[in-house]
Amino acid sequence: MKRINKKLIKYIFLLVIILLITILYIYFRTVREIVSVILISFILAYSLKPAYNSLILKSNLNRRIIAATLVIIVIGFFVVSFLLLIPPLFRESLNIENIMNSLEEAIQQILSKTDLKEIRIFQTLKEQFNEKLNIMVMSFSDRSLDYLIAFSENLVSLAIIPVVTYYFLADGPMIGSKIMLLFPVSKRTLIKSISSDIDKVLGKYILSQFILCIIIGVLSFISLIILKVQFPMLLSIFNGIINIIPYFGPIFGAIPAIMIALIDSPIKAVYTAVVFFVIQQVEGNILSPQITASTISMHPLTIIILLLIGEKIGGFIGMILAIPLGVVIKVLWEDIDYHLF
Amino acid sequence: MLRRKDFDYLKVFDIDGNLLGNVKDIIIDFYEKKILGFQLSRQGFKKNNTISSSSVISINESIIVENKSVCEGIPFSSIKDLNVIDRNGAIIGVVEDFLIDISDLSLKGLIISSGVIDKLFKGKQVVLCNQLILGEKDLLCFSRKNILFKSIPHNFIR
Repeated sequence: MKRINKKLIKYIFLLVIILLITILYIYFRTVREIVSVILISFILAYSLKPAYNSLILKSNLNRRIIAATLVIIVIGFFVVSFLLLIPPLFRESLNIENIMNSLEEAIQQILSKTDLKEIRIFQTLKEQFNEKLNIMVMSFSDRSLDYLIAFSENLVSLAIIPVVTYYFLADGPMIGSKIMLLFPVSKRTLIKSISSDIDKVLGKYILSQFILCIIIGVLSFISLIILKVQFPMLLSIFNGIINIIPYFGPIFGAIPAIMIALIDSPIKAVYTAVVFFVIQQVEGNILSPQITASTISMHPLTIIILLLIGEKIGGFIGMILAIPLGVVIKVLWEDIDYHLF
Repeated sequence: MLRRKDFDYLKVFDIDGNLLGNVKDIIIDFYEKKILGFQLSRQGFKKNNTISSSSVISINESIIVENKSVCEGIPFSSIKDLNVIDRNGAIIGVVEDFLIDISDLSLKGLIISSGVIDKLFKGKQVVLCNQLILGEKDLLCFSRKNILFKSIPHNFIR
């Protein structure tokens, strides 16, 4: 009886602490900022770890220098891409109104070629469609303005991220062993084996997704420039990022490109659709199996359900994060299965 | 005694240190009760990348092989999730895992589980391979003995 009571008390204590932390996270903005900074740096450091490890093996430099160089390269890449993107983005978004008008005109043209516009239903449909489009654009621009303001508010915490990432990279193993001290001795081997399993699977997945992302971005950029579609940079970056999502990604990424090509001419839209389809096929059949060397052994149905749940909870970012989280949970379950029996 | 999870994601190297692939599955000969080789992940454009167990020198944190001989046989994933029936036709459980003797890479037994949630209560059963017959859709366990080997949930600490 005494033993069961002690165990019960231990678990209740743990539960209370976890609840406390979640409540603090939800209700206090400062806690949320701190935790977000740590989380983002951790994810960045974790994604850079494969490159870091291979660089250490291949060169004789001090590990701190390598970590610092990697972080500077990545942060420099972000900063440079921001600087390169913001002016064209501004220019292009100022043109959004023109795009909207041309889109309306294009639809008007298509409709006028048939006699459908005489029927009342299609008229009301068209008006409603225009209205909805306007509302969407307005809310989108509202939200992006909010994001911009929030971004500049958090500039200080954002500047800390590179530093924290550098420390996570350079002193990662030491931090890891210090965290191990949180757990009771008897459980430590178990936790080490579970985290090394998670590490194997997750590391491969993250690295392969990054590489795929960049390749698709470059490919779509080249094809958009050849086809002379407007805003190639914006579209190709969007396509590259959204393609991380397994099944819906390619479709979502291609839709804006096709719509913008539609403004120029329907034929160009068809060409864009075909080219994007070819890119996606090349990625799916040749590049993806090669680069995702160890495919995650999850049934496609599970992946789709995970994507749906991720979208409900977190929108696009939720969809991107849902798969790695699912992979972690699956590895955890298999490990518990292994050790329990 | 090794289980399936001990082979997952193991890297396979040859003597010169080249990475041949990651282990994805094992290839067994159920009649002879031994492992014929391993199915590796894709290498280049070759889809079927196998390596024979006769060239394996050591199995530890990674597998080291002598030469790249290939092998053919049934992968374990085709036996996994098959039902196991006893002499009366009742289903004992579903094949979930295997037990392998590391010294000669022979298949010693199969681990049968009764269900995802059920196994937390009833545990998993271990059936020796010399009491099993592999069929098209099921496996038959013809043991007459009244001895059951079971593995019930236990503490994590070894």
